Amino acid sequence: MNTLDSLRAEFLAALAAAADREALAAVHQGWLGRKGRLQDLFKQMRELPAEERPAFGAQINVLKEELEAVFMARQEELLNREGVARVDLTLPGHPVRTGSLHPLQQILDRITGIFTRMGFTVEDGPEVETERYNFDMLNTPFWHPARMESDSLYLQQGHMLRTETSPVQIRVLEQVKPPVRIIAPGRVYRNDKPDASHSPMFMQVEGLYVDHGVTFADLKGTLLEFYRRMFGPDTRLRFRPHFFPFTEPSAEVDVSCIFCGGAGCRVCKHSGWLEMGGSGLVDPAVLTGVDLDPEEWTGFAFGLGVERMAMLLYGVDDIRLFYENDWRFLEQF
Amino acid sequence: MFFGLFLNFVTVRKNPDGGVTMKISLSWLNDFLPVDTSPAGVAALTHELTMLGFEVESVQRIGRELIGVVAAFVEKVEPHPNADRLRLVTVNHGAGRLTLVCGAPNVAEGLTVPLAQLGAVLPGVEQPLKKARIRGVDSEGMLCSEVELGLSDDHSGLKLLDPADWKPGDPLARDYNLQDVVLDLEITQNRGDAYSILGIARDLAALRGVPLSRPEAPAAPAADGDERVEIVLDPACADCSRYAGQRMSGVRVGPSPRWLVNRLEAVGLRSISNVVDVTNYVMWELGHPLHAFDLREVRGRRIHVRNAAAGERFTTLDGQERTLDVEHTLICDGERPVALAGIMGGLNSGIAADTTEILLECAVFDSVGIRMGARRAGLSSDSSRRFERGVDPRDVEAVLRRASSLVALTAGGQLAGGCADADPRPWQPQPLTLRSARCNAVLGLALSAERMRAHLEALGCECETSAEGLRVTPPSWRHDLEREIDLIEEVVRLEGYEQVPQPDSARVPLGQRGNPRRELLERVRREAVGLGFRQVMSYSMTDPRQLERVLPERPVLQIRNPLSQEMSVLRPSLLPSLLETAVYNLNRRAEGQRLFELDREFHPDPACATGCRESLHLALLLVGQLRPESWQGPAEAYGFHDLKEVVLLLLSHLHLEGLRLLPYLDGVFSANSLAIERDGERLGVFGQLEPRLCERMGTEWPVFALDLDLESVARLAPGLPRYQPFSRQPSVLRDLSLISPAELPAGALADTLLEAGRPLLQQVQVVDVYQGKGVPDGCVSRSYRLRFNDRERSLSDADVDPVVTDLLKQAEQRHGARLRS
Ligand SMILES: [Zn+2]
Repeated sequence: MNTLDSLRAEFLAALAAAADREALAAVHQGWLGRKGRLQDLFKQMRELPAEERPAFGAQINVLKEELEAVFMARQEELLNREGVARVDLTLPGHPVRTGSLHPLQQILDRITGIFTRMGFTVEDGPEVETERYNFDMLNTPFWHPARMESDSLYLQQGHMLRTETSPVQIRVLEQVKPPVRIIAPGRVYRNDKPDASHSPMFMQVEGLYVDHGVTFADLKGTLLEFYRRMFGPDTRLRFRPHFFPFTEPSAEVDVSCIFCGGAGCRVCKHSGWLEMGGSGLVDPAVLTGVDLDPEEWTGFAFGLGVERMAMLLYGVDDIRLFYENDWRFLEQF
Repeated sequence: MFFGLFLNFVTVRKNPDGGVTMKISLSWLNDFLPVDTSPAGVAALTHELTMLGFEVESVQRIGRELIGVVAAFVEKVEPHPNADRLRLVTVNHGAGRLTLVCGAPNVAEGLTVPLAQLGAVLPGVEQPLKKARIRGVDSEGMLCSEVELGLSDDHSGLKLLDPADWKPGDPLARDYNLQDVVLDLEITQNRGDAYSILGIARDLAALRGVPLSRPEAPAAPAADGDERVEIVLDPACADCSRYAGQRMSGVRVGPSPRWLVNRLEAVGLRSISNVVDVTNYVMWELGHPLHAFDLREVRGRRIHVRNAAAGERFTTLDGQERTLDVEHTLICDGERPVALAGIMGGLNSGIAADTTEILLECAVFDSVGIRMGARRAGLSSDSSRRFERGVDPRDVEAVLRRASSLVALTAGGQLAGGCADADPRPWQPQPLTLRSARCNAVLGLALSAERMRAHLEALGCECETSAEGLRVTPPSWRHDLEREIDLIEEVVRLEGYEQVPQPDSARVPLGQRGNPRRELLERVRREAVGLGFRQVMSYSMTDPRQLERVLPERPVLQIRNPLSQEMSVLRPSLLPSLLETAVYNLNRRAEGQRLFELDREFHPDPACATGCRESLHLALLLVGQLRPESWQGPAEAYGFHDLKEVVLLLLSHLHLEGLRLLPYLDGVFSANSLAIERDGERLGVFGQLEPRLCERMGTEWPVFALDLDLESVARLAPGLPRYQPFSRQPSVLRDLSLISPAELPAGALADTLLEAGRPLLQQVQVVDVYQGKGVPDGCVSRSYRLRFNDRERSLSDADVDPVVTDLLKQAEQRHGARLRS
């Protein structure tokens, strides 16, 4: 029996005797470690005649690989037998308080995200506005009912709460030469008693694009692209003639019902269409008001309601839920 | 821009676009052009109207059908052979004679009565009428009372028809067919011309390319002589540009015929008397309001149109006395006012039961004048709503002819002379130029000038070809066609919005500017959510009483016309509503609340153009249970240090440099609060809210909140973090328990240690705080864990020991702290 065979036998005996992690570690250290007995064999090799060394070295290496493999198998077996400290899997998990964005914020982020990727810049403006920006500059005649106290909220000190975010568009056009391609999201105010479908405050996103040669077709194409990104590639749009003081031609925009695809259902009142907001080509009077020549520049504008969108997408049937902030509502988003 | 009330899409309550809803009856519309009232026909019509810009808000089928009921002349009445109460009646029904059995007490020879023929479908009866054998005699039909016809509950006897009006065989459906389809249409602000059956018919005819037929208006018979009234328009009165009056005599006021009542009721009007009904009927049909005066009350046979005097009083037809001002226009007779022009007639001169002579007024009043007048008077009528939107200044003769014709038909009467017509400023056509190239450039279409011309002519415009395109003269009823763009809109409306190409993607210009402020807000929201906070959104309007409880005596902006006191001021801080929301939820079984809101505060500031400084704030709040009671242990409430950790993490994630935390206290934040400052500017405050204040708001939990001014944060322009090379060498840890006077803040001692241990000492953590056995009274023992590190090499005890010795010396010298043995 040569040295290597006896060494193997001794190793296997020691390994079989090792019953826990510590003993196993000791075996590893004593035989396979840096100062282990296999390492000693390599030292012995140097004492052999030069011609015998390669053969002996190869034998040691083979033995080393064999012993490593046996060791690994034994270690695996031992650890498996030992296992983990068991816990009661039926006890409830540790409570974690998570944060969340308000559902309107999530919809708003989605809307602004799409428009931003379509090349629109997001702009802000004050919520307390002058009548000049809120009405005059938007071609709203002095007798227009929207100016009445029954429709809009005015401050004791003068001025008013903006009824739309369009004043932002005027403020931008006053400062920036076209091309201008912006959206203005934000809170707007109306003299409406809160009920399931009305709120004295809500959020709007309005868009404006003024450039050389902007056409009605551009308006249709842009909104089609937006609503397809919002509601899916099969979305269809319908533009209906309407009237707004600051656009001409003006259109109401309907989207093919996102619930029935246009076949007709309860939500779309069996029309197949959902009203989403107004739009149109910027009225020449509005452009003239900000010193732009309507012969040189044309543009389109559009608006949409964030609550309306959120109510449709989430199936919320009462707008007041958004501003009540009940945790049982908020935690669902 | 002002795109309506988007919420109105849910339900329509107010119409800020200035639109109105008008009911139209399809049987009435059928007088002007063919209308298919089958379900498919109504659906097609609805689509046509929608795409013309008249939104159909509802479609309603009303009334009952009378099929197979005709007028019949009773020729012979004989007794029934087998029954005393029944008769055998022979009637002539136009196409022949038949005999039937009748039990009505009032049946008599010579009467004209309704006959339900075999096969007739009567209201409320499913089966068509069949031949019946009554007491041994065949009955080939049935004579009807109003009950059987569904006209009323009167079953006392047969319904009697006027023989002058009904020939045998006339279908009763002529007058008594109550079946109709009624549409609710939204008429937009700009389309005063469409505010009538005629107006809708005109647009439909233009769309379909069919001619429009007008109901016949045979001239009323004329009395001898010419006794027209005298009309004087006060030159100072700008709001009346034309006034015409037609006098009629021999009028008999009474109930209206059934067909007239039916039509008025179908569109939501109430029948009053034949004369008044005719004025309403013609207004609805042609869109031009009329008024009928009792000529007895038009003193001096004279009409004088003038401005009202300030404070002048006048009682309108509805019995209300109204105080007028100079913006109102009055129609006066020789002595006194008799009507509030364009809005409502006077109580003193209305049509009475015994009126025999009338004056029919048809005038043109200024749209803005009437709008302001109606608003001042708080009175909106069918008349004022039409004048507000503009009437046709050229249809006055046609309107008076139609009205007098109908008065003659329904109430008798003759024209007492010609029409008196004061028209000092006749309407002038205003030709416009439509450049066909411009039209196509704006729309993104390629229409020929001929096509544009065809659309405009269909709408009543007169067109001539010009060098640039077309010279277009809009008709007198289209006040909204004033500019080229208005004509372009008409072209695309008739061409169809759906004909405009809808490119798959619109052209996108060069990249746009970023908005760093918005990006910051997005970042703050993301951080807050990441730290486990829920975003809430509350109204900007708040209750001043509520505000007073939390932030007494804050200057606020008040709403002049608030919805309610609860929403009458703009919030000067986000904290009160956030606290209110937290309490609301605590009362609804929410154990713990981590909430934030990011929005604007409103502060009065005369320096701002709007009188208001709007500043963005982040308010963040912790209240209630940090951990609910569970199998792992009892519930644990939020404390100051839960907030502190959150705030410091948030600030560090925003990469704001050079911040200092300083003690802070005001009426809202208690002494357990810190201010966040940078270079002497306060960015925000955080800490525990005053417990008294929280109790007033309804909670006994301690409340911890942050109020961060994001305007200041934005000015600091927090940017990207700067990379700090970190050490890859192992650290050496040392724990030191130090006993110091209890009033010495843990932070002060930690700062001293950190300063003294530089540069090897990297971090000092408090791992234990202990008072009690082994620690002298008035002292506290704190365990600090010190972490030493060097970026270049692995440290040994020999490196660390002298540093520890040194910092212990410093701690002793500066704070009297010593090692606990
Ligand atoms: Zn649907």
